[in-house]
Amino acid sequence: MREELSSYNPYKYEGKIGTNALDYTFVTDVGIKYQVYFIHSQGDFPAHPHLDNQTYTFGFGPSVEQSTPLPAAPRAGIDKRVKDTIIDILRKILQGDKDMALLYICSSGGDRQSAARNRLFNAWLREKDPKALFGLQITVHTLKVDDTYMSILVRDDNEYYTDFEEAIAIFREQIKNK
Amino acid sequence: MQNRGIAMNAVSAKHKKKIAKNASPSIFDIMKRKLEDKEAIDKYYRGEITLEEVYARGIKFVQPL
Repeated sequence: MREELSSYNPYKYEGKIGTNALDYTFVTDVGIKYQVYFIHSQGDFPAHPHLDNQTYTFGFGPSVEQSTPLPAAPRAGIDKRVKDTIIDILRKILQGDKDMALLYICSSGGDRQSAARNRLFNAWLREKDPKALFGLQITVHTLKVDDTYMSILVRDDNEYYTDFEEAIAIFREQIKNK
Repeated sequence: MQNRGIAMNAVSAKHKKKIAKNASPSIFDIMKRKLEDKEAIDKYYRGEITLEEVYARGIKFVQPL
């Protein structure tokens, strides 16, 4: 695990407060500006409403400035530092609050870039044990409906771990009985 | 009478299921809404909609670190 962490090389990122939108931004070596954002969960756990206060939904992607042509048409999937940076942000949040869970939703439909980004993130989560990836005792619960995936990252010592498990079990039952 | 009781139970079960279905959103509703929220935020970052339109969806950004 220590070896895994030592190979990390995240980009320098900063929190940005602008026009009331809060996000984290970083710029890659080839000039792609990324944003990582978090939003409050609302009504995501109907049978366990208190979990909404314990969950952030996050997302990421290139910013609008990226609509300008990119030098050498780089592929984000090749830049390991993008992955390192996003994982680093998520890890710090989970380190800072053990009782906070992170939720990520993605669809393999939609535009090609978003679909590729979503496949990539899911591949990150699947490629290695999340405990090694994050350097934390963490479980990633993934639900799949058609071409949509919803992953919930929960620390194993989260005070509400059992509640999350119950909520996810309800979701799994609904998917099973679809 | 017994058949009626069975039928009532069946109706009751169906009714309860309907109530339960209407009472709280299912995982399908939740995933649909969250995908729509995500698409709205992506559109905002692409400059296609304003931040006000994002907020109008009830989306609240947070900076956890």
